[in-house]
Amino acid sequence: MLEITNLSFTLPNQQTLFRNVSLTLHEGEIVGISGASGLGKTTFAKVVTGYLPAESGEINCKRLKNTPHPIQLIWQHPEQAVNPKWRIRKVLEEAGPIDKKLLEELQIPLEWLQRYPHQLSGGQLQRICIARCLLTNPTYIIADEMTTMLDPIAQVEIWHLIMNHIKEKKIGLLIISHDHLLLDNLCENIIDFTQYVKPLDGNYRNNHEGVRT
Amino acid sequence: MKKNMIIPLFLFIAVYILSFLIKDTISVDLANKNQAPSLSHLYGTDWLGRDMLLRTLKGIQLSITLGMVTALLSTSLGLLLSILATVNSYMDKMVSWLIDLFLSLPHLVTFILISFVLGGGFKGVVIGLMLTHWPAITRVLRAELLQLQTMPYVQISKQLGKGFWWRARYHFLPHLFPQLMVGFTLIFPHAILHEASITFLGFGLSAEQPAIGIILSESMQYLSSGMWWLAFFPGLTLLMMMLLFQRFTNAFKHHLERDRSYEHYTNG
Repeated sequence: MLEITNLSFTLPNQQTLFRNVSLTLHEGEIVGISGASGLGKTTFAKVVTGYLPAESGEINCKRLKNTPHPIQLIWQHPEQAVNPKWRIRKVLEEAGPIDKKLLEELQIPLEWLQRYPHQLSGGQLQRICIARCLLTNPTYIIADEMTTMLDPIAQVEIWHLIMNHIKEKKIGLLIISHDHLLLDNLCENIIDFTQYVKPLDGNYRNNHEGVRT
Repeated sequence: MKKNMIIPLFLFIAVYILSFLIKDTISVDLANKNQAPSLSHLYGTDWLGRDMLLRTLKGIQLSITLGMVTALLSTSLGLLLSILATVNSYMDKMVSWLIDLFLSLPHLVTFILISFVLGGGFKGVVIGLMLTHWPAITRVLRAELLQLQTMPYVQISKQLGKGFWWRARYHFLPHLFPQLMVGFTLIFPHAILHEASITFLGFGLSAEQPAIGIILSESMQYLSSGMWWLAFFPGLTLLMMMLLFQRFTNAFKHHLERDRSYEHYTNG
């Protein structure tokens, strides 16, 4: 069981992004996080998965040295998440030995393995990223806007593929999305991230898109 | 494509090997001293009647060896220091400080100092050149690495359980290779030029060693008496060798960075 207690994060300019986030995620459970742009959902995901250090708070899941982190993050932009100079085979092998059965489940033909990332489309590349994430045998996965950049049909396809695998392996899944329909369909419960964010105090906190509600 | 690479390299190596076939002592022939270039002496002869072609080839050999060794050593030093700089912010400060220190001193002054302290000769010149030529490439590599470290795929690699040296080998090195090649090509002629200038000043190689720098500095005394071939041909040969080398490294770089998308993939 993944327990996050009172997690806070402060930006380098001394602005608190979110405060006292507490969350429990059971193995095999699917939880959604929603909230407007720029609230710090992605930063939250990065703190939980160990990309950024937390300011305070606890996560009851620690990684051992030189082993994959038990909580894996799937990024929003797959093109940035793979080394452009590597063939797909190497990208996947970075996570562990290639499991042909898993590739079959995710509908990744073996022929792709010898391609370079720029020879695959966004949706195909995202499936590679998911495969890489699953090859590490994670206990929990955080999917950060995983399918936002895809059209509805490709979205459905990807979620179908990943859901089967997650139910079978009893992986805890945390989905971050703007898409309420998607969250309603997939998640057992949905957390509104706005409650953890201090109301604006005159200063606007924008992300790169400049959106804030 | 292949031809672009092989021909300059072949010529370059041919000249280099040719120089090994020449006897170490080039005979003095005072009857034929100060001859202008002719068919029997293509590069002319000097004030002791020695054939300038043979001397030039011998000098090229020493200069190329020196340039190669120096370029290799300083790019390796630059690579090592730039990778060390990415370990943590403390190391980064140390390396940046070292770069600043060496860049704040005039190149040639440091070089003369180091070479002089080490007693000159081949060893002194090589170590002096190595310790003065690394900052420029290190700065470029460090900047490249700073950018590379913020890339998502490098951060993901960390979370996939890969250690620092693994990332350095598989993520950083392939991206740094073009920079390394350019750095190497730039340092190579630079090192030979500096070797020549320091030898000219009398702090570098000893006068009996047949380096291009020595040939050029000796010929200065004879230029005013109209013996232009003493400086012209050795200088031209050095230039040609540099150009050949540059041609090769350029072609080699293009060869390495070619589009491999549709090449047959073999496991490994």
